[in-house]
Amino acid sequence: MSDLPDLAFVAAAYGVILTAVGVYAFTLARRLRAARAAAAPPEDAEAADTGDNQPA
Amino acid sequence: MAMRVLGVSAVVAVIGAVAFALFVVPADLNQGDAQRTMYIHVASAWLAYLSFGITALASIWWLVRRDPRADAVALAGAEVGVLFTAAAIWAGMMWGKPVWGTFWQWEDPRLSTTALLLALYVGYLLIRRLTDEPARRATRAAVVGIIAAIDIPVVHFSVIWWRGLHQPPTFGSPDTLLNPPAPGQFVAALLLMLGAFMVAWLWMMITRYRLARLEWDAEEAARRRALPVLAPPPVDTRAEPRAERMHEPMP
Repeated sequence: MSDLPDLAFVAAAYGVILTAVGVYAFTLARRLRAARAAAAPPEDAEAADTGDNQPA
Repeated sequence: MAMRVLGVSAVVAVIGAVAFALFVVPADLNQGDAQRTMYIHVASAWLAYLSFGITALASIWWLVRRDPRADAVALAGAEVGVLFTAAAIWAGMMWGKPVWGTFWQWEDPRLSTTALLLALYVGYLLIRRLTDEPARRATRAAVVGIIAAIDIPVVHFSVIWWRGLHQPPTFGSPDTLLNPPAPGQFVAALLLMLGAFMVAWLWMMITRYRLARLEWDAEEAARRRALPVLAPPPVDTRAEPRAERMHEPMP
């Protein structure tokens, strides 16, 4: 068995995992908020729909 | 509101479980503080199994029913599973170096099959990027998700089927769950970590599922806009009726 690590080494190993999980969770929350904002209908629907996107 | 409560609960639970594992539970007699890495390693590995198992079941659900919700569940399971597999591998390496004397050994069946599991589900996520058509993408991903799931039991039973660095499972049967071959505090730390990570896992799964559903709807809407040929022709009320044109004299 090699030299055993101290508690700081183990805490650093935990820190890497918790940081990764935290970054992923934060990114998820931000992406979900952005997707909801994009999916929400515009406040002035009539002004936004000019008819230009209709097929000719 | 419920998701906010779940998210806050996850943060509190994880902080509590980590504090318990690092500062309350005594160090192992032989492995010292390195043994504390096992709590997060085992919890991450079990949640990775669970995530990929859900992906496999949701993949079957998609192939049978073609339900977009199934694809969203499968994607959530794969993505969260990759995160927890990477966490399990990392924690295992941090434990392996001081205890085994090496970060990694390809000859060990558990390590090799776990690396394969990670590669398979990273591949699953990459395959999903090959097409913009949601239904086709879901079908391709479902096939990969089912095939990749074959590796889950191989990873789990690899320590029984083959010899390697890994020891056989500590909790391999219901009997060992009821009478664990480890001190009660160690088992409590493991279960606490598993419970805390499970709350975080649940929050991530639901959030990723909701995001996937919104992405599916947005992609379908974008596809419909991009394919005007398939859309019904607009009704032009100014044109004369077709029936009248039929009665016009031939030139």
